Amino acid sequence: MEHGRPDQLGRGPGEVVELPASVAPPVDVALEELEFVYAYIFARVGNRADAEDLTQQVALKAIPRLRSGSSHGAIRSYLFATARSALASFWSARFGLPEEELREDIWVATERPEPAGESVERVERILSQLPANYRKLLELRFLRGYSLKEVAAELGTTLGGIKVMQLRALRAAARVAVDG
Amino acid sequence: MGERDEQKAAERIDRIVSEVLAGRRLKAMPSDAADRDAIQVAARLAGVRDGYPRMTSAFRRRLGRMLEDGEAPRWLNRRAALAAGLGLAAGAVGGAAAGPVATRLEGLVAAVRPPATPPPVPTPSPEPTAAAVPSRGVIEPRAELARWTNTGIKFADMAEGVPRKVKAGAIGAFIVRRGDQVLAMSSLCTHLPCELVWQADRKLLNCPCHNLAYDVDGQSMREGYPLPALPFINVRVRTDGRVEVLGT
Repeated sequence: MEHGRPDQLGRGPGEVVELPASVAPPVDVALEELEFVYAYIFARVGNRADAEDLTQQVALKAIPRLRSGSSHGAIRSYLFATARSALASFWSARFGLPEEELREDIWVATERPEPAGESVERVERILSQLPANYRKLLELRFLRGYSLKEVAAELGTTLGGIKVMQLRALRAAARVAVDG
Repeated sequence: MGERDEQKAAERIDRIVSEVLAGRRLKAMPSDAADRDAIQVAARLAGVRDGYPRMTSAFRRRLGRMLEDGEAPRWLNRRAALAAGLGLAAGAVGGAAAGPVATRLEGLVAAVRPPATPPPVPTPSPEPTAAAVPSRGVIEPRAELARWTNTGIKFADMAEGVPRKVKAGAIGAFIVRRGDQVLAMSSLCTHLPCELVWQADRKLLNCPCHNLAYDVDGQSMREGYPLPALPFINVRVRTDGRVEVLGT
């Protein structure tokens, strides 16, 4: 390739097109913040239905704050703190345990919102510390959409065997997550 | 734990896992509490299967209406309303639709296994060179379509730290000089796919859709929840100083 081409709009390469930045109305600002809250929650509950429920809760609690004209930063902090609290209640209700008995330090609380890619990196770190067969099982099952039957075929074992192996792999991953 | 107990636990955990992976609610119960760490780790694993999750447009619209009205709407399900401490008519139910089944292979693998090494950047002359970069997403056009495209820009003409927008077929990029190196990155915001614009007075790349910003190296400047950095585009500098990017 020796020569450049103009793009489809006929502009020459290298041209910069300046567009004005928009000023979003308050509800749009809140929705943008809630998009991040949703991602934060989804990364922890792993399914859309629960993530939508919890995001709704967070949004409802935030309405008075939005109406009081709180600053953008204050709304963001409030939304994040509310999301943490909603997640703690979520797990507490499912396991029938008081929130303080859950591993908040590992699974719920962080000092600040984490960068969007951090959940992926965290999972990758956990998987990298597992034995190869556990890692492969979890990657196929959770990240590549294999059914348990397909995983069993891939790893050359029975369906019953792979279920037990999945349990052991998840327990091993939990140990890695908690310890490290 | 005996073998039978382990098999029972394995069945129970798999039921929970299967539901979550099918996009349905996580149905753990107090009897599962002994395996709560394993269940939470399963939720974490399921939570990254779609890369960066976003609200559906329908859910986003509903939330927007709720915020505008300032009250719990009829569609809000009872559990959410109770948890939020709101009174709600007894008959008001609704609920989220079942979620998607996640089997998108390529995106997932790419998200979980980003390239461990910087993109290949042929450097025919000892200087200038392409930028040495940390691990970060790289846009790789399909091999049969990939072609090096002359940007029409000479390295010697590039001002330090001033991105220039270029287009190489389907790939839009900003190229920026950093010392004796050139960096190329996607021109699309990583939040939603709006084309970024360079604002010289503020020295940042601005997204006109939601007023988000990236610095000249493509790192999100958003406080609180930073966005992913702009993915790299392959770039090279020819011996005559022409800058080329790998487009389509």
